[in-house]
Amino acid sequence: MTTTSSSGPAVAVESISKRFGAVQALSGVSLAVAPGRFVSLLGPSGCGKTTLMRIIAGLDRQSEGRVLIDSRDMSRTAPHRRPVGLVFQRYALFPHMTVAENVGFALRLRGADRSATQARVQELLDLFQLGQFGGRSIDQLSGGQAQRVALARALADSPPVLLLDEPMSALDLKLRQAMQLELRRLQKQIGATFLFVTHDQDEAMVMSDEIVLMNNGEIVQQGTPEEVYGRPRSLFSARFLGEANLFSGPLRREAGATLLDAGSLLLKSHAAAGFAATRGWACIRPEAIRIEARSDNKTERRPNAAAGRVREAIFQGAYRRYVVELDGHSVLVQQPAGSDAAPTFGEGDRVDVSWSESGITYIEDADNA
Amino acid sequence: MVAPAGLFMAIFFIVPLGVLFAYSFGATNGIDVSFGLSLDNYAKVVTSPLFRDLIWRSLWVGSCVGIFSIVLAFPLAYAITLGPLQRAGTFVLLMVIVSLFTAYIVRIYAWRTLLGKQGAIGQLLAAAGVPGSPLEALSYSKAAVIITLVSILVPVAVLPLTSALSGIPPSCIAAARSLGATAFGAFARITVPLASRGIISAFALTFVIAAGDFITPQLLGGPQAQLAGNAVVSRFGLSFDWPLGSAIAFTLIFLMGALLWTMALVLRRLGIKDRP
Ligand SMILES: Nc1ncnc2c1ncn2[C@@H]1O[C@H](COP(=O)(O)OP(=O)(O)OP(=O)(O)O)[C@@H](O)[C@H]1O
Ligand SMILES: [Mg+2]
Repeated sequence: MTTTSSSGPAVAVESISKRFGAVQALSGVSLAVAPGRFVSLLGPSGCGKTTLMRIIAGLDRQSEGRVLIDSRDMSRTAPHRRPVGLVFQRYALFPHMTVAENVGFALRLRGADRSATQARVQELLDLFQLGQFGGRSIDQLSGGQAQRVALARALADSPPVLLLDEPMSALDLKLRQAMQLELRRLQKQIGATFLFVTHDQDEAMVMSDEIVLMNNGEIVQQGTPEEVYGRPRSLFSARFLGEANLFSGPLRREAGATLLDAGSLLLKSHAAAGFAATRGWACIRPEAIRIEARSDNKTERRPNAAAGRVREAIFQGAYRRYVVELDGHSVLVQQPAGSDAAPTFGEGDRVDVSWSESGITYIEDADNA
Repeated sequence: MVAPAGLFMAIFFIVPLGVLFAYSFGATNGIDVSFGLSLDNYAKVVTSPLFRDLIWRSLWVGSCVGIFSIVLAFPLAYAITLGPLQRAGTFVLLMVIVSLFTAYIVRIYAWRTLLGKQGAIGQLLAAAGVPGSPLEALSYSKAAVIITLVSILVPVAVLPLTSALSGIPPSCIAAARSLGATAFGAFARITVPLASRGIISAFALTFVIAAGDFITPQLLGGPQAQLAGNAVVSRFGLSFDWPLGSAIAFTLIFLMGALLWTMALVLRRLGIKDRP
């Protein structure tokens, strides 16, 4: 179904900037998406996700930079000539057409014959469990149905690249989770390249081969969900994706290890050889911290460990979370619940917390976000 | 809400029209009107070539004015809703509304100075050596009546068109583009059908006002471009034949209604629904 004439990226943007009057919506965004990948654009509201999508689709013209689709420069190509489909944030279904007419729109424009169009429309309606809704007018659809019609419509002409702008933002959580898995399965099945916009970090992690994290019109970090979550390169990344324990202080090198001195805490890692800054931050994810009952009364400072007292204990079904008060710091700890082996703690319990070197990510002090 | 509104309609609209309607079945001896159930007046209207011509011309002039008004108003309404003048939209609408309040008669006289016998345009054409008699062609003609009525009614057409176009989500048009429609294709398949309700209202408003007008043809039309309204006015004034005047008026109203209704039916058949 998807054909690519070269092995280059299915979509690439090069140094894209976009100004709306005084508003700098995008500044110097470069991104390449390999064919067949599911890539999520993730970022807070107003960071330029929709703008980037519209530029790729040709609906807005970039102020600077190039857009390449299937390795062809399409920076100035009209939207109807670009081989990309687009699913809008608010679906944008045509209110004067039935469900089937909406889905068949692209095929009719292309002049496909009537029976082929009908067959393809029915195939798509069935695929999206909309089989008997073909004749309905679109104001008779639920949110989830409208969303599936929008998807079916964008897929009708089998575009090799599909841009999805927060297609699930109007759905409730249950439906949303079901659709996430469904959409991912569909993408694998048809082999198209999906560029998916969301500001929901869980959604991005569940669905994507790759996450592109944006902030203030720039790409902040790009990588697999594991990389972006596990190795945040900025405070913004650390805080936006998941939760982070962050400690700041001067850094020094000692026998191949990098140490960060955060007052009462000392963090030490051998896995940060390339990191040259003299001040910075250390990020430790809550699930990377071990929590144990206090074993002794030693108070001297040891690397990657500290003594404290549980201030809050929260049961969250699958997890137990603790806020532990250390000397001058507090940390969030998350442990899987339900396992017999894991001891549980209550408020006020005296505990030891510790983490392994691999749980530490150092971040430069460049941004104080 | 409904009861007071109904009362209002009854007092100010239905009662006077009802009285006129009753007149149209009556007779007059030149001084008094006697009510009756006679169809004589309608028979006169239908059989007289003079009245038939006037009514036919009214419908024709009304249709032309409706179409030209929409053709001129649409680009403006589009520009301030979906097009490049969105920021100026409020200002433009304000100007449109102000122009609606400018006395209609003043604007007719303004056009008369341009299009009339000694009018500026005619003299300009003559001075430029345009052959024939451009002065004659422009002044006191159907064209002069249509041009004047269009100029007066464009603002009337702008309002329903603006309201219809402003209800169209720009993302629908963008979606059509990304699904393969050219700019014109999206316009024809999305914008126009979604604005059809506004187009129909704009046509109905301008058509009804133009077809029923009698001041413009009186001041600018000359003998060749009188409309049915002029005949109605003269029946009510000069010749004091109210029953015949009413019959002319109701024949015109009936035909205007029939024409608009047929148009709505045809559009619906074509799949252009009069709902947003
Ligand atoms: N047509 C426009 N005119 C002026 N400013 C615009 C326009 N479109 C977008 N912007 C501005 O550009 C910035 C980026 O907007 P964009 O819609 O791309 O954000 P987003 O990341 O999609 O946000 P959200 O998650 O809320 O959808 C915002 O500051 C927005 O106000
Ligand atoms: Mg957006």
